[in-house]
Amino acid sequence: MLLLQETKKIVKSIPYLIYAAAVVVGLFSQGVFSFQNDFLQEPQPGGNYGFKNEEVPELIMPAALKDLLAEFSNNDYATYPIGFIKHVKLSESKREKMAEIISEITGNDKEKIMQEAAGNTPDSIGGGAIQQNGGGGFTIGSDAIQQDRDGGFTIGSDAIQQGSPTVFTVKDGMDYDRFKELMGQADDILGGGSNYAADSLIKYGTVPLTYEEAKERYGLAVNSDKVTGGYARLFSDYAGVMVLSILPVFLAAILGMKDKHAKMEALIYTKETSAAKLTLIRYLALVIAAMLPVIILSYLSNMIVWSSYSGMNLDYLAPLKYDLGWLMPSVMISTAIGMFLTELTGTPIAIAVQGLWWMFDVNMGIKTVQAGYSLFRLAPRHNAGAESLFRTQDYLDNFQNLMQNRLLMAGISLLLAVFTILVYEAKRKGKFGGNAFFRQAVSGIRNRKNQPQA
Amino acid sequence: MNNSIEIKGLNKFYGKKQALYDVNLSIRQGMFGLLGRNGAGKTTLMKTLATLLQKKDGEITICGVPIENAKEIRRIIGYLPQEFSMYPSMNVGEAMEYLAVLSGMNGSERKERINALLKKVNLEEHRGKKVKALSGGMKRRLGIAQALLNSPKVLIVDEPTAGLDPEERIRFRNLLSEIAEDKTVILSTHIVGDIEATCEDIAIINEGRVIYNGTVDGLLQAAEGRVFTMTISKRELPLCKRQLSITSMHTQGSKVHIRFIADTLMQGAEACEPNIEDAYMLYLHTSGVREILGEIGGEW
Repeated sequence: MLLLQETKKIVKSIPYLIYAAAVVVGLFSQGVFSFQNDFLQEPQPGGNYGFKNEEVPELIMPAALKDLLAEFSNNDYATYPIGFIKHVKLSESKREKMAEIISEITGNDKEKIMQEAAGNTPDSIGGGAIQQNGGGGFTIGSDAIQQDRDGGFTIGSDAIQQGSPTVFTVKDGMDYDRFKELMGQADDILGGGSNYAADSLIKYGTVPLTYEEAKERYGLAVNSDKVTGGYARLFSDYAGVMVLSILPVFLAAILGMKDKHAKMEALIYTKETSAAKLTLIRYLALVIAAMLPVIILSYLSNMIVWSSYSGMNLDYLAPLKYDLGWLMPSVMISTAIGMFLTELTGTPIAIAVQGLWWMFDVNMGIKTVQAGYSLFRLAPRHNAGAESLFRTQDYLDNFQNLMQNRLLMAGISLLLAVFTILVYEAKRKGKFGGNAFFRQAVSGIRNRKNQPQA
Repeated sequence: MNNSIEIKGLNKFYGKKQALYDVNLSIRQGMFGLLGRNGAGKTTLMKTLATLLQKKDGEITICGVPIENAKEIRRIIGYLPQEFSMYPSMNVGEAMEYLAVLSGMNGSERKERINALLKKVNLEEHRGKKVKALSGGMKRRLGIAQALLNSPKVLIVDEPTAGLDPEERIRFRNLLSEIAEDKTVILSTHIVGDIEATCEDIAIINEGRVIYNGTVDGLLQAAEGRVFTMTISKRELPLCKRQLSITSMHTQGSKVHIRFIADTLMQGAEACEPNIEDAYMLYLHTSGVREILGEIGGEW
């Protein structure tokens, strides 16, 4: 009965109506109601089946070297250390270290590399564009890196190119493991988050899918995902990252302060219901209320494509499975942080805390949009646009990581709920003043700062 | 199990500041008034009894249950705080329903109890009215109704009549008197009239200390022969104000009738029957609270 009362109280509140509207608008803007445009089609022989990334040293080494040379010659490296793009410009000493790495990869003399790149400031090479010449080689200079017939690269400004340009290519017999080590060192010099990091190198190994592979992929999508699973997964990716990892904290924080604003605290504190029961039921009510529009929208999004696959064996419970398994832990953690920090401080600080985490998570995930399942991800990622529908194997390969992540989030949420109970009980007995305590702490710090120096 | 409250050697601190000093009270069934100025420590004592504050030391038992057993205490008390409200978007019926669920009442019991209580506090017709649309008096009556949901043995009511108009105040006092027929009701107030109209036993608390504990009659007896009236001219008033403890005054043309406390009869003064306000002032006066008389000595 209390659960019903608490849920009713939430869904009839204005903050909840705003939340529900924000969920609808947020998801609509992500295109989850136009999945009918992305259709799973059985591959036919002779078509183009898309690409995949594979660890093929012969592809990765020259492609990565090409990018490194281009960035080295401009001394402008794009990195994503905490998600946001960061343009790194190296000092002279670090450039020399980078030249040493290139030297070991290419077998060219370090001084020569430094010398050839010296004339290629971004101004002199027109932004450092890379162009392929007629012979299939790259050169830097003359406003370009150029590649020669043998696949080597040359660096040089117009002035340098008047002489004989040096050809840079991955030296014969370059060990791939050593290459990865050297690229790792390059990444370290750049402060991490570069394209040369160990987990990023595979992106240079792009190979076309064969007909058999495409057929197998389609078979998995139809048999394992039963078609609807792929759409539900794509919905979860959008809903998790853009909506449910952040919006529930608003609901929890605003409604968490409702007792205080309504001057109901003393009335409720002196009632018989225990702190544990009240806190857990309120938590459950918040999670249920936050999930309600999501479950409805996940079905609306999924149902759009059902008619396109008439006659096939569809999993009509797929949206619900993904809502509960994928999305609910995000709602749980966001809500738990909201409840705990609001109860502890009596302020809406939880919104700022969760907002920061969300912002870092979204930005850190930029490089792992297609498959981001690491343990501490707030919102797992599995998004390659329409391609996502075919990526059942990637999902199955990462399923264990995903489960670990989701269970960890759910576990932390429950732990925070327990801490919330303890804080609530302490406040109820007058052992802890909540907001007053934090106000005193803040004013204490301020007073210390204002004390005249002896 | 009796309905009494026993408080022995109660001390309460807020940080380093002591709010209650060695409070000893024995409260029996019926209306008990706790009288004191604003900030005297009444709310601290009420909150401690309602398990909302922790005591530093001393013993409190309510109906034989030690205050440390908060869960059991919450089962036997009803509490109406000084400042309270309810979710403004709820109507009277919904607010009662919600608080009844929190009181652990089941479906049929809840329905019957809410109906009976709304009838008792005369809010039956306002069941569908939003809480935010209730008048101050109606809100207090709703507060009493919610405090009675669990059929408590002890009702703790903190400053319930502050801000109410005279009609609502009288109605509220009568309601409390009715409730006190089979319960212990502790009424905390700084309004002497509330106590005079409803309580037999009272305690006066000042600066965290109980300065009187006994019956209203006992309080009045203690003031016998120490309350006087006198008619003076307006120009004598400033001097009298400095020299006497005036409890009230009434201007009539160029004359002023004053009522004051003194140890002996003065020339031109007449002894009169003390009322509870006089007696209360006398206790505050003897406790060194001289300035209170200046504050309260208004016209009558």
